[in-house]
Amino acid sequence: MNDIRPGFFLMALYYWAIYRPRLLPPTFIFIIAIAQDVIEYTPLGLHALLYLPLFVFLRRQRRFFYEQPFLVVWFGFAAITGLFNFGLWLLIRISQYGFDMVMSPDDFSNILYDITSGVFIYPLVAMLLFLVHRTLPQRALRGGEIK
Amino acid sequence: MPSTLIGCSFLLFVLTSWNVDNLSSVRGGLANIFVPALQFVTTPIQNVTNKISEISGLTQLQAENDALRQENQRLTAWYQVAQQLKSDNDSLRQLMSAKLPESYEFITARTIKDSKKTYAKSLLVSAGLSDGVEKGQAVISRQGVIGRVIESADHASRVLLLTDINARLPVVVGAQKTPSIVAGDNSPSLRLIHTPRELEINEGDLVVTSGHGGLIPSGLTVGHVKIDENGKPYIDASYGLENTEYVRIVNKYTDPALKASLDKLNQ
Repeated sequence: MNDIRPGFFLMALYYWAIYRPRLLPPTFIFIIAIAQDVIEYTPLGLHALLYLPLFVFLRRQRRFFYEQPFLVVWFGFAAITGLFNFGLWLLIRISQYGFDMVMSPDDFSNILYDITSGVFIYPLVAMLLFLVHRTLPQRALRGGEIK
Repeated sequence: MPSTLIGCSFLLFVLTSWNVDNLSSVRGGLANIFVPALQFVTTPIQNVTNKISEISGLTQLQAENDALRQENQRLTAWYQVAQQLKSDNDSLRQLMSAKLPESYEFITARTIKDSKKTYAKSLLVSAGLSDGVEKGQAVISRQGVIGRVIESADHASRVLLLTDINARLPVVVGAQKTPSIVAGDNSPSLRLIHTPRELEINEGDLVVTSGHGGLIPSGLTVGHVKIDENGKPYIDASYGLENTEYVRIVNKYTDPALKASLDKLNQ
């Protein structure tokens, strides 16, 4: 089955928002989100409406996450991906049916599936991103350090 | 800075949710930029996935081979019958001097991204205006019609699947040619609506496109009727939507003179 497609961008956004937010300018997030809307045929601005507030929130909370062991950061990701997937469903539901909120069992299982697959794949992606993170020049590192 | 962007996103969202056709030219322009990039990235990944499934499927190859050989024998027999019928049909048409606009060709395209699991059921395929793909054309997979083109950029098009809540397709059912409309509801089964009450629909009846409305040619297979526990007819589309790595787009009228006269009449 080619149905496993977790939100890799959300994982990268989560990682960089905590460890190096300066590497991820909001304009870049906006462009990626619009690209995703074009490709998935969702209303324009839908993904940006979820990514940007999450990014701003995480950037504010990074002091908390920065010092935590991986397990806590992982739990944090589980919460964020849950929030993201329900937010996605909510906005699409609003754009298709207005404010008539009924979740079909199919939708629910799809959301649950996306969340679980994302949560299980996150450690792998985080490891890759950590390797990238380590190879980055030190000078650039200073810019993103905790102040 | 982020708040301005969030504001922009909100405006865009409201505008395009109101009517998905708003900003469609912007969307088309963006698709021309993003789709080739996506295709560049996904092609090697898809090749690797195919290789892996080839290797893991090696053991089933023998059984599949046997099955295919039997099917081939059966199809060869049918091919003879079809040839016979075709020549009969041609000569009868000549006798009646009937003019039937049935010359259409197929454009094969690769699926770049399918959004079957998300909420708008659609495919993004790698053929566009430059290949002759236009809005409204029917799209078929191995099992029959799966949707139609709703948006077409230079080198890519968007296919709305029959299972989408907004998809409607005029069809005829069974030997009685009962007219009906196939309607999606975001689930894998398609409903048959607006069927005349006095006409019967039976389990197993073949559903083909009626060609009404002129957008989609008549006689393309959609599926077979099943009856649910409430006695309502439906078509199970899950099987047809599984093999959509490559799809064929039906370019309906290849004769330019015929297309021109049809356009004139439709004005």
